Amino acid sequence: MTNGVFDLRKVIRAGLIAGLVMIFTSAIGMVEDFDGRQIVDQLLSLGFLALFWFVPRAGYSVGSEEVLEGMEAHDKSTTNVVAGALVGLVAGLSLSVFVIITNALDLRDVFTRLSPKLVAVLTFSDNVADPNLVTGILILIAISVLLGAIGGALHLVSDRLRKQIVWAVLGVVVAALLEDVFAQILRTFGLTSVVRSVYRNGALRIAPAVVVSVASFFIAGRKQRGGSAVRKYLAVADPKERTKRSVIVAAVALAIIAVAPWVLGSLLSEILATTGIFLLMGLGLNIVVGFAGLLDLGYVAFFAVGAYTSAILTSPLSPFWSPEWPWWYTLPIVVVVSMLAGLFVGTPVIRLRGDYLAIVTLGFGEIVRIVFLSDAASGVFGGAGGIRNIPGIPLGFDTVSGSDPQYIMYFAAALVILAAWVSYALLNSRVGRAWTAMREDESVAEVMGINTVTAKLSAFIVGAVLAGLGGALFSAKLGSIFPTSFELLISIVILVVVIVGGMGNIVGVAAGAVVLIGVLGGPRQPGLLQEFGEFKLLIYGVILIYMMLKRPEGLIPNVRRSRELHHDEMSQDAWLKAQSESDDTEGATA
Amino acid sequence: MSTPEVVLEFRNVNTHYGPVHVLKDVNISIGAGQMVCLLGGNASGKTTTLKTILGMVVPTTGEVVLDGQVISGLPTAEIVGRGISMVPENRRLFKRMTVRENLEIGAYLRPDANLEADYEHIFSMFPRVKERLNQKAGTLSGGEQQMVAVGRALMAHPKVLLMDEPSMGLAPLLVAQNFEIIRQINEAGTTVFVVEQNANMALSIADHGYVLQTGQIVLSDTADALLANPQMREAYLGEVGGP
Repeated sequence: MTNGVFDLRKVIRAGLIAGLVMIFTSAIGMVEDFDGRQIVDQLLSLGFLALFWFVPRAGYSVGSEEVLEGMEAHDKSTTNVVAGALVGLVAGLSLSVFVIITNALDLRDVFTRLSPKLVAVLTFSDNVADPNLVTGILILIAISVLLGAIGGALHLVSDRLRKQIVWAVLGVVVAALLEDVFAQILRTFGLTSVVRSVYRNGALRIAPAVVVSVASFFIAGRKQRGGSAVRKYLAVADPKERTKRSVIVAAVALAIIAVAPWVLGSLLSEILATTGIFLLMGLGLNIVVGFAGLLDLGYVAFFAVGAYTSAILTSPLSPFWSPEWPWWYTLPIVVVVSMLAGLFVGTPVIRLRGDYLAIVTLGFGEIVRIVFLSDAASGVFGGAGGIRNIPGIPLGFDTVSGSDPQYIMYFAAALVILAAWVSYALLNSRVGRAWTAMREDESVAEVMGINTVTAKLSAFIVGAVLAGLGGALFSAKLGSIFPTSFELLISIVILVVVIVGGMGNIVGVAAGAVVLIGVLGGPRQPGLLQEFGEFKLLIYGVILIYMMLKRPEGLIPNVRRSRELHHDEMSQDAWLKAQSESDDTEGATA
Repeated sequence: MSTPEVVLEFRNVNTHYGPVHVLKDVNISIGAGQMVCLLGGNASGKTTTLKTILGMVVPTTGEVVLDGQVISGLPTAEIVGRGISMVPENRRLFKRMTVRENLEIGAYLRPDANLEADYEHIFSMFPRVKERLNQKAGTLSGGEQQMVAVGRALMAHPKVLLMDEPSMGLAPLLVAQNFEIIRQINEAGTTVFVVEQNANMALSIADHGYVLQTGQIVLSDTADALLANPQMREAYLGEVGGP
């Protein structure tokens, strides 16, 4: 964009895209459903956040230009603001047309969510029967224009300030969305009055919102981030001191895990336990997909095998054979059966690569579910009725099941730690190196003497065992299992967790599980944001597409790798510099 | 010159891809410490010959013999373990792994070995590799990648080093350098089997040459004799009409 002139086509395109995003979120009912949840008391609801969030983004995007080497960046000017405002105008007008059409025609036969209520919400009317259309539309357009202009104006400030502004807004949104967590923690410590003065009906009150916003603004402005403090603390040269410090960090982490369920209460512990089970499976799938590069779309099969094995052995109601063992005794059996299942699925597919492997494992996942569902095998697996009355995990004082989510969370945490340790140890082992080489180039790995058949099978088996253990905990937690608990969607959600978090990276998978399962919720399990309920999969999809476009390496890419890359760049630059200097001197002497 | 003891041998090898008859009664014998090259145009069966040695293609009849033992039919990892390693066509490094990791994988079948001495040996041959040790292999230039690929193959301490088209995709100067390296490795005692289209270059450093045409060995002679062979000159050395 040259100074004073802007590309009208680009502006109109961005405006129409923003308009479409707004129309889409309205038409699927998101705006209407989320309108009940306030973010900032009386000022902003989640519905309007969902409606308008993209407008400033679009307003910002028309002003951004790619400055390549040798090109000169154009001056930033008020043109950016005007362009942003125009984007907002186009977007607002598109939405207005949508509101008018929705109001005039009854399209509910086709688009069930285009109701008078939606029109009322969008036009800020209290009376559903008689919305004040004109005023409402004018307000909508005004807000769009303003937000678009703000987006454009972000070009006028420095990068650092822009980041701070964005975080000031995000901080408020996060503080409000995670109201459950903060309020629960405060309540545990007897600070109910504080909760009441900060939140009202789940929304931040205005004064605390300002405080949070200012605080996020300054925290984002700091150079040092909190996460790297731990890494810095651990980065001492002396190996003895490092071991000591690692032990301290681990002890603190364990203490936090030990205290967390009681501070967070049972609802949040339940969410954490679910997150833990999915994280466990994420780590298992990460070994198969991230380390060994085998795209397994039927991973849920091993989860189901573990759950059914444990259920049959513990439940008094398992139809074929019910030894009613205590949960603990089933664990070795679960491990063995899962290994066999991994071998059983792995052996026939071992010669397949890429897409073919994905399709066949997908089929295997469904076969397992259908076997558990089938009438023919209902004498063993209970058919569609599943297996009920699974007693839970016997501890000395009690039998722990889903009704004690705090204890279940401990088990989930223990299994996750086991899985993380297994992943870490394997990645740095000989078999881990073989997996990496195989993922990079299977044929050459074979020529290097790597037995790709055993390498693949071992990845399948380790992954299967971790999922099987997850299944055993899952069945004890739920108390009854049905074939429908093991649908294809679970495989896909776990894969999304791995991809979004950062494939091949243990911490990344944890981040993916916390964001997707903990915050949004599992396919059938509630997360922190229960409002998202039916839109969960849509949001998964949006996150996945966004990640693929903007951050294909995942939320937290492999730290070691990125550091290495950075180091490479520096050494490469140094080499190039030395090279050019020696060329110069050679030229001078010649 | 006394004939050296035979290390690797093809005995009447025939291979098929489905109904297609690829190698037809191929006999090759490679003596210990020798450098032998296999020449041939596209689709003559050169790559299949290498795949047959490595056990990726199993002969329908005939056998491949290493040190007096039949190796055809064994799994690839087993054959590699017996002392054959390969520098693949176009280098094929593990691009997203570092140079060091690439070399480590080369020594995959020597898990307990102390690799430092091997690294030093490779650095003495290719000082540039040392500079690039912690860099991603994919960021290296073509010539450097070739050095790493050769180093990776040497990490296995092979008895026989197979090279698939070492001149492919390299600038002429680098090709010459590359063949010089191959000659050095051979002189240091490793038996080398080179598959090449660049007949001139390959024959100039080889002891013996075979010419493969549509799956059949049509010529087999010492390298010097092949270079002088008029038929050879016309077909492969680009001299139309002969001298």
